[in-house]
Amino acid sequence: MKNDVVIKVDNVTKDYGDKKGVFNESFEIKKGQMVGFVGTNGSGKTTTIRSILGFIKTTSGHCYVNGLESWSNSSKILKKVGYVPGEISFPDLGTGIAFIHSQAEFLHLKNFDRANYLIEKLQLDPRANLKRMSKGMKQKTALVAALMDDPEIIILDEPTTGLDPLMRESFLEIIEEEHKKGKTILMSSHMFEEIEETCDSVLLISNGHLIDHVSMQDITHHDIKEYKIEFNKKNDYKIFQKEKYKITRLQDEYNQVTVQIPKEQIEELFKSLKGMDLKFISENPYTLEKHFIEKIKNVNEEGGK
Amino acid sequence: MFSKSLFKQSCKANGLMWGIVTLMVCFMLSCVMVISGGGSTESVATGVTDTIVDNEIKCSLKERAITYYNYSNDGEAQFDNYYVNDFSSDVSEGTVYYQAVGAWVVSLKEESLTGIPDCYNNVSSIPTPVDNTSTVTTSLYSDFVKWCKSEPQASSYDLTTLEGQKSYSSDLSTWQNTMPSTTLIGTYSATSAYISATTKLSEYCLTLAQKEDSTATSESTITKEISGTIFVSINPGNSFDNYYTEHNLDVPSDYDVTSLVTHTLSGDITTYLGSEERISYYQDRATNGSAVFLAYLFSNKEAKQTMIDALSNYGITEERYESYGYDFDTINHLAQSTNVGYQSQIDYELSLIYKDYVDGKYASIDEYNKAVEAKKIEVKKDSSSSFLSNLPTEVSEALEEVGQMDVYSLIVGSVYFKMAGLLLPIIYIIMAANNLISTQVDSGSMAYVLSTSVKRSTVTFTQASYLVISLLAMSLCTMITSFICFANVKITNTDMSYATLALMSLGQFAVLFAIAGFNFMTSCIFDRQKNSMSIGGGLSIFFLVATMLGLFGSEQIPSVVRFDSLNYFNYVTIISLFDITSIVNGTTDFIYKMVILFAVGIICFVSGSLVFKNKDLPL
Repeated sequence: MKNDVVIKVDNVTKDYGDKKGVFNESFEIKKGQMVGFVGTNGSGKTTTIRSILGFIKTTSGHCYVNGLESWSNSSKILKKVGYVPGEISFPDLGTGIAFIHSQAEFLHLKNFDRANYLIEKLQLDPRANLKRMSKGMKQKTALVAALMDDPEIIILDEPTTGLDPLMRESFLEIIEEEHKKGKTILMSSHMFEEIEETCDSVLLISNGHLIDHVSMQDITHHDIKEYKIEFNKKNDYKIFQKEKYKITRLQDEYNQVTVQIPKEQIEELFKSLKGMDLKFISENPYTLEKHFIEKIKNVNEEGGK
Repeated sequence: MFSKSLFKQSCKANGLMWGIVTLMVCFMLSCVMVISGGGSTESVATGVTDTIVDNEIKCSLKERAITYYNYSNDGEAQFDNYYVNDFSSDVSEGTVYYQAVGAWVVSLKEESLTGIPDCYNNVSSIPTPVDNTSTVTTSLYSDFVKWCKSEPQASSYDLTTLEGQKSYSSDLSTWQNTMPSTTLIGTYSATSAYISATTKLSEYCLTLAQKEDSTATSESTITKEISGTIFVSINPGNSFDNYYTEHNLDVPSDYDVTSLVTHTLSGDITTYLGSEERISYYQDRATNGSAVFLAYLFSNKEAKQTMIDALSNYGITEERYESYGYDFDTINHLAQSTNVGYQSQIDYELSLIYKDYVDGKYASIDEYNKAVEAKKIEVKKDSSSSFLSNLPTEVSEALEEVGQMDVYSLIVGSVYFKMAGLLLPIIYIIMAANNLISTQVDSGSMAYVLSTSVKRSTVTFTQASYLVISLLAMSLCTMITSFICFANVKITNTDMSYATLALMSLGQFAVLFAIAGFNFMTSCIFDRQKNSMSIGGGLSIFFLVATMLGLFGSEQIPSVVRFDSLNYFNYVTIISLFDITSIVNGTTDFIYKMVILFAVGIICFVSGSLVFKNKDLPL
């Protein structure tokens, strides 16, 4: 259903020259999805977000939010969006309260219940001077400002950077709460774990190229499993090597071998190991990080070919 | 189009700065208006007047000294020419007559049996001078007649005695020896030439005067001045001794005609007249003579009174005039040193031309002479007209400017409204214009404004409105302050009025509007606050500094203390379009200039907004 698509990035290129920017990016985010946006620093996450919000004009291609072209309808789009920028800096207004009130005025918001709820939840002291706020406090203030209007779409640019683990927890909690309410969320990060924990699907970007759009489902239920096996006897270790498994790593000194096998072959593996003297066998879980590194490897290899 | 919330936010962010700047500006303005209205401007005007009068008199004196010096030099050379010519013709005329008389004596001698001419009885037949106007011949004639008549007569002696005969013949021979000698020709000629040359010189002075002023007569001031300087320099017959003695100066030695006589008689007079010796003699005499004449002329009571009368309109009293110290000695000294300087300059310039001539840069001697004449004219600052009638007018012309100079409106208008009073508002503009756009883009706080669905055009319009309204309010405050101060200041000598103050405030607002537009534009164009500030702010401050420097070269500053070269700064700053002079003088020039300022501002605001609307924002 077309109506389901909230954010659509259609073959967008923003070329800053010198291979900087984003190139031929296309993806869609459906209503109610929470999408993580992962990539190294400078890979183009922020550029993509700015294009979606209509702050910058794409070199080619278009972004759409709720079916509206971003650049030409920026102000309409932003009405529906709560945005927490990556670099947080507030207008010259004194205290956090003054800022939140000023924002509320912009939004024609009369009711502060939600703001107060958020403030309480985040344990934010809004009376503090904006200039003297710590990074975490600023982030929280920004989140309050972005969410107090109860927007349909929430876009967060590296929101958890600089937060202590406890703070990050409550931060993510609020976002997940929003997610549960059915809000569409796009959150960029370079921290794989938090994306892994919270998001439905993940966009991978590297050097300005979108290399994958994968659902977390596919990652946690990955088809190919990886096992690490250590043998007690050198002999078993050598015999095992002759079996036709895809061996990714050998460590002779520990008689250790790492193998990758498709899910269906697990039984076969255990058969082969029957009668061998194993010190241990463990499964290496497939993580987003691994996926990301693998994908990049693939892309580079393809590039090499 | 307009966001009230954003406007409020901008007010909060920049309000304190606005308040401080406005307060300071108003305070400064009231200080300027009250203090400069307290009478100290009068003494400024007095000081300037004194400087101008002093300067103008000195300049005129110097110019005049050179003119007189040239006249004196010229007159002396002319006198020598007349003298030499007259002397030679007198000598030849005298010689012819002398010879005629000599021949007559010889013929009498031949007739006489004794060999002694009987001049006594034939005195009636003595040749009479052909030209009875010539003093030389007439003097010779009378000498000869006297001589003839003094011839010893036989009847007065007792010729019968030997002693009588002896005494008669010895007296006769004595008498014969006393016959007027040829040297008398020289003596008479010398005297006669002196007198005639002097007469001719007077006529020459008249022709010189008529060259300058065709209506001049021998009674005209200019004629008197020209002949004065020449005659005081030559001092014929010591008739001008009083010029020197009245001021206890030594009378110079008699004008040297002896050399002229000697050289005429020895035949090398032409060489002598062109010789350096004679020329430097002219110069020495002219230097002294013309200076003394100038000093005498200018320091006498009548001349002083003329000056004071003419300058009294400008508040120059006798006392103030005396304080300039133009007495005889000062002027004499000034003129002499001017003449010496002038002469050495001419000598130097001519030596350069001569060098060129030797190097063969001139094709012929004619061309060389032409170059010499041209250079002489160039060096000589010709002031052709009477000195005494002119000097007061020259000074008063220079003073007119100062008399009209309205120090109060100069200080309040050009110094305060156009310069000092712009500094703080311009700093406010630079800060505020950058705070309103580029700082917010640079730091990223603009994201919060835009993410509340405020359009970019709304942002620029609101921020520009804030900037303009805050400046308008500032100008209104200064205007009201200026009204209050003006009402409490008692100053008479000014063209200033409430209307001019209002127009000045409006003009100041126009300048601020244009500069605000410019800074707003750079603020919109650049993402980096430092770029926007250094370009917008740098240029704004440059405009202001150029205005400050330009003021010292502008026409509002009296020409005496003006640095003309600084006027170029007025062409590189848009603040020049704030035309204080026109506002004060009530002309309409300022209107179109003000329109240009507003137009510049509007163009900048609009183009800045367009750029902002279409650029990528790093938010």
